[in-house]
Amino acid sequence: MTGFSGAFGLTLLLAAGPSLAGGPATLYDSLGGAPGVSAISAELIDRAAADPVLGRSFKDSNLKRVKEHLAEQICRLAGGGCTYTGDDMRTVHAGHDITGGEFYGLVDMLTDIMKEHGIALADRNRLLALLAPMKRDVVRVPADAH
Amino acid sequence: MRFPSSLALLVAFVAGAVAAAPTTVTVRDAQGPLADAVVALEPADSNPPPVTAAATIDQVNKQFRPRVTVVRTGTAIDFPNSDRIRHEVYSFSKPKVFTLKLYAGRAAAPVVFDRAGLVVLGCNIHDKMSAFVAVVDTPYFGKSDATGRVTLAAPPGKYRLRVWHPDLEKPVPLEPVTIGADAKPIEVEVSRLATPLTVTPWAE
Repeated sequence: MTGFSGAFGLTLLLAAGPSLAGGPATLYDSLGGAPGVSAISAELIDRAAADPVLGRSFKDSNLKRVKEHLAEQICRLAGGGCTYTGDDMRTVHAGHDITGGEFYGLVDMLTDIMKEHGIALADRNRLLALLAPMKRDVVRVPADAH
Repeated sequence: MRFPSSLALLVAFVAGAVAAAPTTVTVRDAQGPLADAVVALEPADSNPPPVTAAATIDQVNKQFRPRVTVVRTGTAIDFPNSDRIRHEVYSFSKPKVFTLKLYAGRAAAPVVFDRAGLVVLGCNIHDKMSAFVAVVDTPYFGKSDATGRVTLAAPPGKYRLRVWHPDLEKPVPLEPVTIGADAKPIEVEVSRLATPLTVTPWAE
């Protein structure tokens, strides 16, 4: 993820500037706060579930729950102050045999959705950098890993 | 779309049947024999001694197996997980409210169903999964087979006959029956919905 370091530095400069709320703006604010993060999460899961490749991991799943937990997860990571109430990422993905290609497919979808929401490049990269370390708990996790 | 709307409960003591205990109960609907119907003879006055028993509801291909389970009050049900992915079984039903996380390759503690009534099971992860546990306060219970038949070894006496299936148009009222020494067969006719919107309530 070294490719993100330049963008990350730029973001720190932007974040240090004044915000409308008076305090420093969090990434969560930049993503649109609760409504923005809810919408991004919902669109991502809907798009992934409808995808011919990624869809298999979401078949028969309660998508509403997945969306809520994803929004919590993003909120927590992006400084929104949420508590994540779901199982850990390793347990959640165990047995699904998710490939590296599927993981990056989801990253691409998330990037597209953030662009559609008008999220700036630096903020997109900040979120992706926060999510990237999860790859080891998502890709090819054995069924009994928890 | 529905089957004929008139619910006909017919408890017919078939004349001239071969006299032999135990009692056979046959459940039918307009289409023929009805499988997976819960049938129980609940003693009207006596209280049979409790039995320790166990049952299993497995998770296979994102489905509960079996869909309908009938147990006696106090039975511990084991919930293994034959899938490679996790499940999270829940019930909001009054007789037993619980949530049980099931992971691949890790056994969870059995759940004791200690109150009579109907328990509807779901999975928080996979919302199409559903199953039913009918908890009855009698040792004389069973689930109808492909021919609609259940055989119950109830001794002679007065009982209430309970019949339940998830897809009935309306609950079958409890029916007083007397089992004699000759244990005559009992026939029950119910009306089922082709595409049920809700689960058949439990007769009280």
